[in-house]
Amino acid sequence: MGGHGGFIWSSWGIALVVLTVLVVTSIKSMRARERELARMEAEAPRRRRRRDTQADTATASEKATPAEGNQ
Amino acid sequence: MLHRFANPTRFLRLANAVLPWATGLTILLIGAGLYFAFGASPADYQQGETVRIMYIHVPSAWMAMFAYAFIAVASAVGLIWKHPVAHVCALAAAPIGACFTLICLTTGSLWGKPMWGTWWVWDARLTSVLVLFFLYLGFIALANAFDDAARGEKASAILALIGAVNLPIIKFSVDWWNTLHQPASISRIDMPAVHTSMLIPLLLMAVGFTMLFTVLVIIRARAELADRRINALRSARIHAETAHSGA
Repeated sequence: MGGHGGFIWSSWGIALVVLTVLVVTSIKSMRARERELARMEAEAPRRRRRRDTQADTATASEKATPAEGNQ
Repeated sequence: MLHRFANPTRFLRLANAVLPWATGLTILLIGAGLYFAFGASPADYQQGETVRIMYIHVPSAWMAMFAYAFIAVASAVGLIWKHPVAHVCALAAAPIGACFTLICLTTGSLWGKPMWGTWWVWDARLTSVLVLFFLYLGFIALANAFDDAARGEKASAILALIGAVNLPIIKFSVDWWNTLHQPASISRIDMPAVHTSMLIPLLLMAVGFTMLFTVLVIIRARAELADRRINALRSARIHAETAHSGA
């Protein structure tokens, strides 16, 4: 490299390191957030189902109470 | 056309379709650029082998300016039409632009020492690129400085638009002032002052970096959109729990 190898390889080395860190952190961050979002979205319908079940149970018991009172 | 992609779902559909192609092109173009930069291009008759720094320095400098122009346009679209995806794209592009600017500054310094005999001079070109780097850092800091994300977006978008005045200063600094940095060699009205054997790796690296920029903006925008959805779900959950306990 004509005695300038240190300057040339340092330039390419710095670029490689900076871009690799940028690519890796970007991919890791995207994967972590999309996993977290998928987990939360998977939980949300379960909570809704549980709420619905609780609501159904409450309605059923409300209906059952007057019937019990009549007996 | 622009309004169609203000919808995050539609934007993500397009982005996910583009991502594998852009990734493939990035690998192909940068791979070919590296081959030509080190294997199939000659040493310069004056600069010798140090000319190989040009193939990383010049495309990084172009990307540093392109990324800022992208952020300024996205910020303007976000401010004028209130497109949420435009702000997301601007935020996604800022760290990428900052990294390219950092590469441009460090490789320029490493090229300057053997060719000019100095690591740094406060000439107009070098100083305006350093200002660009600080504008990137300011944009990122301002966007994250508020609890209310919308206020951060607005403040950083205004900074991006004001800072855009630095782009023509960078471009024309070598013509307006006496600088140690050389004037333009590629984007000239007449023919480029670079031989084809050196122009090929330069352009391959430049287009490869543009593809890399596209890939990274998509990845970071996906992360940002997922983050916003997570925050919305958390807020909805807290709201629902507060309402439930209140009842």
